[in-house]
Amino acid sequence: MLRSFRAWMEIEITGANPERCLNRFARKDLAFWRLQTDGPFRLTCRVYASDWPAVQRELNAALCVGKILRRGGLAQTLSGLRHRKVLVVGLILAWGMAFAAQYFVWFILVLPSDQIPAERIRKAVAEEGVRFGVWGQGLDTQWLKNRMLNRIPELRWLGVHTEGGIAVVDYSVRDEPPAEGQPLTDPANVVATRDGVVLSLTVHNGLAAVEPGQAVTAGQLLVSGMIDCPTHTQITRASADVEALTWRHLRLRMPPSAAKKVYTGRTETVKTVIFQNQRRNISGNSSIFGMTCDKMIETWDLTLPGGWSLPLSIETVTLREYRLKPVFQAESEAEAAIGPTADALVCADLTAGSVTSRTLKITRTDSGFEAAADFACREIISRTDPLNPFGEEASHGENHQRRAHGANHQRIRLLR
Amino acid sequence: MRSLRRRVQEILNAADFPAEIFTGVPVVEVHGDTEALVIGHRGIVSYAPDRVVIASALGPVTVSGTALTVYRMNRERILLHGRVTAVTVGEGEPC
Repeated sequence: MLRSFRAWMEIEITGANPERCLNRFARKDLAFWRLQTDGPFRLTCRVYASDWPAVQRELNAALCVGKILRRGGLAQTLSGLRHRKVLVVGLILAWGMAFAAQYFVWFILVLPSDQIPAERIRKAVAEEGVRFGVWGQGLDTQWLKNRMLNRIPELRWLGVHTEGGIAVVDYSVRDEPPAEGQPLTDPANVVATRDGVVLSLTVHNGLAAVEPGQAVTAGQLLVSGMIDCPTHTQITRASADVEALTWRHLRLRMPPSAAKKVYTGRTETVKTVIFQNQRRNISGNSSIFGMTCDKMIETWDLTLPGGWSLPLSIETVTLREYRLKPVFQAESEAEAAIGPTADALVCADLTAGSVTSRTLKITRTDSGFEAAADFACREIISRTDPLNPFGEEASHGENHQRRAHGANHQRIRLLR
Repeated sequence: MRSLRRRVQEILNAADFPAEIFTGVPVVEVHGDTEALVIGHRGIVSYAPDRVVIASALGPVTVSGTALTVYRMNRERILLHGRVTAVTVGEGEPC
């Protein structure tokens, strides 16, 4: 093994008594190995290239002839690099760069968490200086932690350490603060959020004050949190799901004409290379047509196998020019345009429910179209309303039960 | 001469001294059947893969076997590798 590092040569010894050469080599401490015989007058062996002059002297003294068959060894192999100085410099530089690369940050690994998206943490640490190509050993983790705790209040702790070229961001999230407002055990009634007809009533806790089929108004007591028992009055937190049929009325106006997009056929594609936050156009003109164009952006992020994303991405922006052309609308077109808008408005207003029927009436006026829409909806109208059994709120709504029984504060027992 | 050497050797053996140091007789070690070491040689007389003859103070030491090769050699010792089947000490002409 060690012999292969030094330059060696394989020689052929020919003579009347080649063994005599081996004896002379041994006396002069000339190392030889891989001895092979090829008949009584010929031997081959390997000797060090640096011993070759001494080997030649011993061969002459033993009346033998030596012939070099081949050369080898690491030194012999590397001796070829003497004529390739640029290659040697390149190899040394590559080795040096590979060695130094481990001290820089090339990738950022954010450990996943359910509470905070990893991308939010990645962006925040990048803005604080932990980004592609920075000196990993120079990261001030304490300073970074303080900055990040200010930046993201949900964080309890954050640490960054480098493993090779990877900056690993580890963090922990604060425990969820208790929900503000009344705790869920405080006494409460269930009241109606809007006018309607009760369709179904599911009482989880409390005493129902209405029945299915009954019309209720907004704020009316639906389920009471005060339950009269033979010996006392229980005060509890009422809970119920009350579904009711409700109505909504909308009035919408629409101009007689609408602007319609007419594409001119002129398109332009701009490709941009984004390295970190720097952008560089590689094709196309960066000028745009103004405000009258559709802009479609496709971004292709470069990643390595294993999901390691590089801070390099290619963005393709396609611009499609159009002109706005006023188009006068017929009633049918106005209805087709107003209908979905009205539906969207009502659906956004519904907490939990759906539209069962819609009546839309469109009339043409001087200023355009006017639409009157009536909606019938099925929705949950129950809402919890805090109950104060010792105050004025105790008689809120139609708490006639308590009045009828003449509530005695001494008998009231809070059930929690 | 030989009787004198034998007499010295007997004395050294009686004193538990290594006799080869003073008398120059060879020491031949055979490790299993794959290695033979000759210490105190006087050179190789002949070399062939099946028979290596080594000169010594007691005459030629012949190592017989197959695929014999000189693995290492210096002025003191010769290490032979291969399959060793016999080692004999007999008459021979030193190189």
